[in-house]
Amino acid sequence: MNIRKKLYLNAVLPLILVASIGAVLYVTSRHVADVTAQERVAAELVKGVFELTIVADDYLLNHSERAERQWNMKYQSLGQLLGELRSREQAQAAILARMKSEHQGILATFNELAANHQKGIKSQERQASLAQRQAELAAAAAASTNNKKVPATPNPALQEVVTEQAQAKREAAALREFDARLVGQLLAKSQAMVSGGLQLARINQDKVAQTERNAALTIFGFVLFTGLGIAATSLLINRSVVRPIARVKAGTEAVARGDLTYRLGIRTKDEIGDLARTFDQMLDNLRATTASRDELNRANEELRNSTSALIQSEKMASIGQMVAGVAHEINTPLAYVRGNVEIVKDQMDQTRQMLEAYEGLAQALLSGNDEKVLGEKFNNVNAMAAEYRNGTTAEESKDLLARGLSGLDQIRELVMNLKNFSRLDRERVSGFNLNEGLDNVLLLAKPVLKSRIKVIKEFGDITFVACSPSQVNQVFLNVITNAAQAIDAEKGGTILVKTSMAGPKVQIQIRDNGKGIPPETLPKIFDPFFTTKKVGEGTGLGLSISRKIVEEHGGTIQMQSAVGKGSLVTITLPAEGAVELRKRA
Amino acid sequence: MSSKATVLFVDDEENIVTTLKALCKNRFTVYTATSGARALEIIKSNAIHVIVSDQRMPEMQGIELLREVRQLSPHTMRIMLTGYADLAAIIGSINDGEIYRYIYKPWSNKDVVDTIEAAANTALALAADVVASSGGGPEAESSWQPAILVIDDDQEVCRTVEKLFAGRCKVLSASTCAQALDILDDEPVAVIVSDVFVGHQDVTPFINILKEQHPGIVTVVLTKFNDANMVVGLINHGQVFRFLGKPFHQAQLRVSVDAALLYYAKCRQQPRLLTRHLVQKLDTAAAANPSFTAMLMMRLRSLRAVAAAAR
Repeated sequence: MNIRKKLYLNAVLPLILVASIGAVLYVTSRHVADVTAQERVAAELVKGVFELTIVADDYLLNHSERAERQWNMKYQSLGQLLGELRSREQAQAAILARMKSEHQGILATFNELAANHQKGIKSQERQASLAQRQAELAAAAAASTNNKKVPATPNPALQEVVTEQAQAKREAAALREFDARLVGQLLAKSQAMVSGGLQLARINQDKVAQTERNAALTIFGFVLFTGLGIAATSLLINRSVVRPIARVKAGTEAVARGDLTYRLGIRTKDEIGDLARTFDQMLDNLRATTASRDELNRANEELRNSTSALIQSEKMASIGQMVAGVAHEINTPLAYVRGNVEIVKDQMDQTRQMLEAYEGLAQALLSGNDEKVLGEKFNNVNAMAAEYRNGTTAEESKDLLARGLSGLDQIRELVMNLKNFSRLDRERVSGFNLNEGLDNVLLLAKPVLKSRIKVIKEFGDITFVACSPSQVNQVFLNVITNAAQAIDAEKGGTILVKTSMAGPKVQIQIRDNGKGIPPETLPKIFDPFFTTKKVGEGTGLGLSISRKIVEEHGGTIQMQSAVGKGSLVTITLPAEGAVELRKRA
Repeated sequence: MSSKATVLFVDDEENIVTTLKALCKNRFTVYTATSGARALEIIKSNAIHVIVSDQRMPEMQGIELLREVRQLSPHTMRIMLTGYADLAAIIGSINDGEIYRYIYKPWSNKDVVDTIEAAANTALALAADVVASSGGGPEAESSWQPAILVIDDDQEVCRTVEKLFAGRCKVLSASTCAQALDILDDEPVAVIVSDVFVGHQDVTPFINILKEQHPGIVTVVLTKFNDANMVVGLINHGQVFRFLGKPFHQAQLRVSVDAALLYYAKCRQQPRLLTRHLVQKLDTAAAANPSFTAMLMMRLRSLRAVAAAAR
């Protein structure tokens, strides 16, 4: 069951509860109303019976026609009430049947009473007439007696009247007795009806109580059942929603911390299960993506490292080339300076010996030695002088030393140039004279510029430039080296280096008459790693680095070329003050 | 001053030749040139015993000059004096220039003078020889069959040499120095074809000492290792006849070994020629591995004794 269904269920259960309680209440109330109506009818019945009895009493007292009519009306209303009573149970039905029969019995008894009453009236009338006759008879007799004063002779007529009177009295007594019995019957029947009505009322009351109890029980049952249901579904929802959500939360927190190995592992079939599966799937993907991203980063890093290594190696290669050349340039003067100094040093021995010989001769002359010794010494000094003259002369020594000094100057100049070239101590300077820079570079590039390459300098009057000299020199060295390499060593060629002003920019043109670049490769020459040189000879970064440097200085570098005719590289750099040197990356 | 040897210095830097001239003018008749072309003119019009040339020069490089000189004046001792250690040039100076020595700039005056002196003496002696034996002509020695010793752990080299010289020469092979010495004890070896590293062992000391003790044997080095200093050492101390790189071309190997055999034969006829290949005494190289060197020396001494007895 999914959460949606569970929540629906949880929402529907109280509704069911309310509806069922309502239904129970409705049914109960209907039932109670019904039963209460019956009870009321029963009560009215009882009341009616009492009224009937009262009316009957009234009637019995007055025998008025109105009372009789009233009685009849009451009786009929009683009959109606009885008709309203419905019996659903046997006991009720029995009571009802008995009540109905009592009801009819009452009518019969009342009618008998009425009839009896008529009889009683007739009997009284007869007694009255009889008494009148007796009185008449008695009066007649008295009249006769008074006259005769004779003992009254029995009068038969009187006798008969007296008998009749006695009979009438008996009849009247009988009638009274019957009447009393009938009244008793009527009362008994009324009582029976009252008791029946009361019974019915009690039964109905019991029923109401029963129904209420039942309703209470039913409602209690519903409440209990639905409550349990709600509790169960709530628990279920708690179990299947809240706890998994807590796990999902823990998972997201773990992932937020960077733990991509975390898996929710919720295998339920509801939405959270789906969510968890999607989450895990997402993590798998993320991990894979992260892994591949890491790999990419690594590869990128490696590439960057190797690129910077290549840039470094390009720098080192050009520097190495230059150093080799410079070493050779220094080596040559060093060689002869060293040779010259060594020669002169050796000569010093000879000079000293000669000086000693001269001093010996002078000593001999002063001390007045004999001719022979003096002659020997003199000859010795002469021989030495001759040898000295034949060997390296003083002039020659001077010349050698002078050459040595010029050699040392040459070395000094080279070292100065090297210092100027690199300018490692000054990263960015203002007021850099590009002509001097080019001079420097050309001097240092001499070994690269094979002996058969002629360099023509056409330096114009140019403004100073704010730049990083070591970088700009690197560009010049690179371009000049390329130009030299384009020229066939056997055939030889010319490199023209020209500087001029082009508006607010300084323009440097380096032209060679080498082999040139084919049109299809010309657009690629500034691309990193593009090289026409053999593997291992060039990194293919020289021109790309050159362009980077020039562009960082706010300048441009372009190349035009024609196969067989040569190439022209044009570099422009903003003259000082024109453009701020862009910050290096 | 006809007894003085003639020396020609060639360098594009005038100061260098000036210094060399100042250094040598007392001992030798000195000529100087600042270009290859000028040097060739001097060679053509003068008998030059020793030529000392720079490698890096405009117009004509030292190696080209020495190649020309070898053609024009084969008896001129050729010395390279340069500061620039371009490997190709050094190897070229062996194979094309067949140079006597390779001297680095800056030099020590004494070394230069001594080297030139030794070269000059050899050249003078040879010149006298040539004059004495002119018209003799080389004699054919049909009965004699020279042996070629291949020292290499790569069997391919040996097989190739066997294939190339089958029938003409006896081809022997050794994969260690000890084996090579055993073979040298028994066989008259004319040419050695060797790598510089055999079984991870540097055999350059062996090659050098062998040349010192047995100047007659002509060495062809065939290796994939080429370090400028090593090659210079093989010139100065080992007087290697040819230096070939691996992988090798058969034709190249054939030509080189042929040339070596021919040169061996020539030296047999003119033993004085061997003085052209006197090697610089080992000092640093031997010090590198004294026990190995001592062992070699002992073996070689015994070898010499055998050779002497045979004679």
